[in-house]
Amino acid sequence: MEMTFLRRALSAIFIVTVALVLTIQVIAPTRSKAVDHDRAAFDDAVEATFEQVVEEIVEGKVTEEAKAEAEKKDVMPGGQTCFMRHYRSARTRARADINDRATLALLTFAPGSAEVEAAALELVERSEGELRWRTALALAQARLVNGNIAGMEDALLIASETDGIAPNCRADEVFLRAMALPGDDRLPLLMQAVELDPAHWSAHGQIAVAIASARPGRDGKCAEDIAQYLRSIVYLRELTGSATEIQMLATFIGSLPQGARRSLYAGMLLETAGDPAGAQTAYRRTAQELVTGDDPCAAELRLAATRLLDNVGDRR
Amino acid sequence: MTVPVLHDREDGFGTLDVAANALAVLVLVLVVTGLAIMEVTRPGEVPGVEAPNVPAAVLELATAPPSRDTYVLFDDAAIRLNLETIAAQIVETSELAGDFVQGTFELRPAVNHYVYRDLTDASLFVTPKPPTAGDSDSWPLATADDLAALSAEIQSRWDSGARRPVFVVYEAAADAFSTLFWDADAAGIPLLWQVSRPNDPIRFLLGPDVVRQRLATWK
Repeated sequence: MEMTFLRRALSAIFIVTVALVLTIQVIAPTRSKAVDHDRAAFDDAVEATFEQVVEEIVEGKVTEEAKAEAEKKDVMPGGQTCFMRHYRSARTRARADINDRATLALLTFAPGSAEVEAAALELVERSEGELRWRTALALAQARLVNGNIAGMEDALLIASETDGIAPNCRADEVFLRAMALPGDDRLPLLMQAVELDPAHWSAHGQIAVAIASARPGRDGKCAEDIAQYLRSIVYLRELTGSATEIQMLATFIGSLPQGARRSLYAGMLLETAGDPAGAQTAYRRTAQELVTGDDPCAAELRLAATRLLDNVGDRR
Repeated sequence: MTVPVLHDREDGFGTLDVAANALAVLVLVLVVTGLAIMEVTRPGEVPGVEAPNVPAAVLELATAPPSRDTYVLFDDAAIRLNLETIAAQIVETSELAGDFVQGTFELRPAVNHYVYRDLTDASLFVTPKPPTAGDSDSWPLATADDLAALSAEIQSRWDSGARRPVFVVYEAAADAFSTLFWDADAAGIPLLWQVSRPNDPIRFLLGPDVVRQRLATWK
């Protein structure tokens, strides 16, 4: 009697386990299809006109795209390299000798050390694939910290010529290259970075900083810039999750120059934070600041503020 | 000699075997996962210092790049940790732990490849010791002039490299730190600081922890 009960219980557990595994295998492909679909929607959106982008944001489509990125199970948006941002998909369990990994860590702990740099160069020479790519990237980063821009470019060239790297990792190369440039000049590269990896939180943050601080802005690029500004703000607010990311976001908003662009940004965040009245005030202030200010992209900003104000409370 | 053939002994034992084997596999997986989780959550390692090297770009959003200048304040002297010395020594000797002029260090790369996320994941533990007179990167803290000299040093580093200084403060140095803090505040230099106890290792982190929450623990 007891044996029968035990047998049944064990069989039941076994069947449930098998069923779970099967379910996961059925669900997984569906998920990735949904992601492909979002990706296609994103690509289309790049082509869209400014008005369409604003409408998509007002209707919450961009929010859904960003949510899909944020909800991927292995995403850690603030992670600096793709290995951390997408730790399951971007990296195939790269293994390395403990001394090689010590060299990699020391490159970031002590970027000024000539001995570590020499060890890293030697490691690049004798390694391949992910280890070689990651070492070259860490070397580029250390050189950027030290202000050695030419050296950084050399290291990035090695990284970009390394095969077998996930496509969204290339965003890290582009991002570093962008960070070596001043202000507005970063924008084209940063936009390329978020196209390669929409979950690149830092790139979205830098885009927002660059566009919010742009004076007088890039000639004839108002529609492109403000559209990207709005998209990046949506991505930032959806991707921000951890305490650290929230703190960094708060600090950086505090440092933006006063003006219409900052008010627009504040409105979009207040709306997410569940403060529709505050958001309306911020959007109205945006419109007022455009009247008194001399923003070259006033037309685009006004359109965005008006449409967002009309629809406060309709989204999400 | 007889060979035991379990599945012939009674009808239905075959099913039980399959179920039992599946259970055994499950248990194994759970145990391995448990071990893997233990690897990341080693308890009792305080205080945590967010890496002074979190890649500059991440934190550059609003403030200066994170610091490579970590000052430790003893009761009558201060040192600025020289991580480059440690790095050079590790590269030269391939020893991940040892003594250096400012104390002892241990570099622990995350070793469990099922747990670490990036190939750079590591912790660096530094246990500083009080400096002896004449050590480089050290300053006395005995008089008001000493404090003014250190404040001037911090100011000049800030002016030339814009690195945000990090302070590890022992209780005996609370008054000295107060002076340094207000000097820096008046000069508009943002500080990071953490209270610690002598002989507790200072832990520099690289890894997901830093991105997730470490920074928020700083004042």
